Amino acid sequence: MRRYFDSGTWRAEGLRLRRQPFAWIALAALLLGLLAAAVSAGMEARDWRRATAADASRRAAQLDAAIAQLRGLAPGPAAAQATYQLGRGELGATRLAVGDGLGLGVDRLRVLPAQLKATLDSRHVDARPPGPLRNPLLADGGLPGVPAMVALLLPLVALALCAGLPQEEREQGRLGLLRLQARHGLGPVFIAALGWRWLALWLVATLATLPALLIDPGGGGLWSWILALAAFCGVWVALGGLLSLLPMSGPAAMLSALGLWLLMTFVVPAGLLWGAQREVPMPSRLAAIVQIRAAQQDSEVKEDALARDWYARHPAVPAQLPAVWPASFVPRVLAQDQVLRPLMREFDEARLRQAAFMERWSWLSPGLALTLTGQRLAGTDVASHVRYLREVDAFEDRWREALVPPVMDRRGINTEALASLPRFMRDATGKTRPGSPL
Amino acid sequence: MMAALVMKELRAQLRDGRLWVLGAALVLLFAAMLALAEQRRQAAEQERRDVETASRAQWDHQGAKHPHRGAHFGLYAFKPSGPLAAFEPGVDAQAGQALWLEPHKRNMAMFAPAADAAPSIGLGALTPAFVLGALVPLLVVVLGHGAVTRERESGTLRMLQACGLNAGPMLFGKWLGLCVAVSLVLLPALLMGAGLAFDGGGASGAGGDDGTIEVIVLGAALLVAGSVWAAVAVSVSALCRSSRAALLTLTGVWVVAVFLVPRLGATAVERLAPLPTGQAFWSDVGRDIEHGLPGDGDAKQRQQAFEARLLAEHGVSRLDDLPLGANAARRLFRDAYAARVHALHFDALWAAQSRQQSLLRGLTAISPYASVRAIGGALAGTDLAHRRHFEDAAERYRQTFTTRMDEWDRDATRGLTSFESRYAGDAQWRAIPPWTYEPPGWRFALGAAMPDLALLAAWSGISIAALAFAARRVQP
Repeated sequence: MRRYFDSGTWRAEGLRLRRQPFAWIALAALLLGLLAAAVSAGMEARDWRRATAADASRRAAQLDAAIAQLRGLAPGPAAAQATYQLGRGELGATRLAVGDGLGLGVDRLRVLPAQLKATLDSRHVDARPPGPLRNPLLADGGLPGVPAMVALLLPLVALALCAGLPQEEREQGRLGLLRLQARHGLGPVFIAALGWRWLALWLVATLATLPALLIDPGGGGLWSWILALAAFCGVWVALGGLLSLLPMSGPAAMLSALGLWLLMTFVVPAGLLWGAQREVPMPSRLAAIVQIRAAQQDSEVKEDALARDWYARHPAVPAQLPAVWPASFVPRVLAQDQVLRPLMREFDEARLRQAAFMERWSWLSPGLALTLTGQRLAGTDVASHVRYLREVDAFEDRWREALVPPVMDRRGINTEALASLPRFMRDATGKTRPGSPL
Repeated sequence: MMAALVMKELRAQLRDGRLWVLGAALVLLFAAMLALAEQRRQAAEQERRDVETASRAQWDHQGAKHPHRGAHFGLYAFKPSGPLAAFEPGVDAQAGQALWLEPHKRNMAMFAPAADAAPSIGLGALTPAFVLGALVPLLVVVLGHGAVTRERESGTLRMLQACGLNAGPMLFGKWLGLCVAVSLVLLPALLMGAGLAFDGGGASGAGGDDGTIEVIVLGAALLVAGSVWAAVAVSVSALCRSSRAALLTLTGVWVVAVFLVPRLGATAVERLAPLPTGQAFWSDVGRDIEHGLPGDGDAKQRQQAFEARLLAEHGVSRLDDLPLGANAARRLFRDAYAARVHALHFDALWAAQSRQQSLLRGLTAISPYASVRAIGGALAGTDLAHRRHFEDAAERYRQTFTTRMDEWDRDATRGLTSFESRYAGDAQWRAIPPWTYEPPGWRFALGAAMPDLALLAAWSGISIAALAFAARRVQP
């Protein structure tokens, strides 16, 4: 084993790499490409944290305004209507609880519904999203996440650095000489050459992607990311080394490397995606619209019965029958959501199972594995998002428990009850923790 | 002499096994992607039609209701897609699939497919357009990187120059030979794409016409883009000392042009010209309806003025005494104002998105790939312009059907009616004409694609100039 760590060999190979202008150019290009992505992601993550931090003060201001409004209203239909509007307003806003490594998966927030609102309406048919408006053209073509950029660029540089390692020596007639001169044969020389390349790539990738975590004030997960990068660099340097050992010419090895990169970065992930969709077909959103409308129509037809039923189940609230808007409307929404929630959960379940499939097979594509690792560290992976959806469901239940009775008794909520309205729990870093207030 | 040069280069390319192996692999990949995408598109179209019919049937059979409650049940508009959308899905994967049309407010399309997608590497979907727009240039790079360097490495470049062959004709011959060779290999892919478009039966192109013009323009744009890449490959090959250096340089150029420039551009645009948040947008709409546009007074004042006019017009002193439905008349007045406010804000939002698109075009002009993608989206009817055309049409329909419901209510009732009473029935629901959408036509698609077609033409000129520049610098 010691012959592989012969300092002379390592020094010589290090010197050889250092004196290759191409290596410097390729590593500099990698550094710049990754740096651009990391700075952009870090800034996006910082903006998200700032917005999260501002949520508490905005909520407090909205709550003060609501208290002032209700203080001016005597208990009665007007206060009940104000309560109803309050229950549909921004006080029920929530935000996805993200992880420490947000900068590594912040791009997912452009696509996922991450700022849902608990409401007395059905949020499953809300066509006025409160989150950021995005130009679909830019959402499709925006900078991918930092892990995806690493997955795109680093293998190319790794393969280019490893290309022709022994082949070029052979083509230029130096391989025999090298074999003669090497103290322990070609193996240690080759290992040292690959080792330096791995180290250079790892250092450049780590340095270039650090801003994604450092610009974000809540950034963390540094060591996990550095380890993931080390493994990723190792895989591609090893593949580059293997390719350069194959009995083929230098140009043929480079073309094979290009093919391997295309295969593992594009074709395999696309194939896995296709496999996931085949194994777990996603239910149709369009077909769900028909079910949503059926639930809406059914609840409207049964409006009176639903109101009567609600009052029967809440004997503490004096029945106001026949119920008039908004008291006629709220039991309808509750009945609709009993149908719609399980329907919407089918989509979440399918996403979870598809994600599990991708995770299971991600070893076939190191880039995909790295991207999934980044999303997990960022807390924007499918499992975290589905957990958030469940938390919003639970929060919405508590929200409605607090606000539906004052709407149904047609007297409205009082200011004390308003001040202690349920909140979506999360700690200062944005993580959901039981009992920690917003 | 030029013909002889082209024929020599073409023969050399055709004898090169890489052309056939890599070309066949690309054509097979394209065929598989296209077949899969078309199968999915057809299934999605069938489902869209089924859901449209089912959703309309639900509207038609609402039973007895207050007409305004019936209107609130609403209708849905779904954007149809032509066969070229299988080639280039464009923005449709990121935009919502269904627009809920209801009274008082204009909504945004719901259920973007991207939100339900399984986790992926995040470098964009592997679509047929990606294969032809991005991977074909890579094939050109692989085939063309050694065009001059190999002559230099084998010593034939010096011999050719000694024979009196100028570098200019040599490079142009190599360029044309490469273009013809790649076109020959890709011919099956282009024919497959054209066949798919013509097989669509009816609404093929972006415009709902037979799609011929869109397919021809798209095919031509892809060929021009391929020729641009061929010129870049031959130029770089002429300027590099070795095939290895040429291949590495060209691969770098390809990665920058295909992945970095378009994506960095999009990110820069989001920072330079951001859109408002949904919260701010909806709250501005609500504020302008509630407080009124400049000089209009607030909602209460406007309504009071309207009611006073209405009472005076009919010579009565109470709304209850009006010979028409007072609530419906109020709604008609209020909704007309709300539609005006919505139009102002949505137009501003679309204008902001168009500005973003123009800015993106400017920032990504240094990549021919960005132009090719934009041309593909415009001709396939999956770009922003077509999305706006569809949503504006849906908005006109929304206003038409809600107005018709309220007009019927106004004319069929008198005075103030209770919102709880149910005096409309299936006859009223069925009287609303069904939603039909007529895509805007090939002229619209060409118009949308024109700036990017012009950019591609400029790229073509620049690449030929680069070839001429490289010819002056060729050294044996």
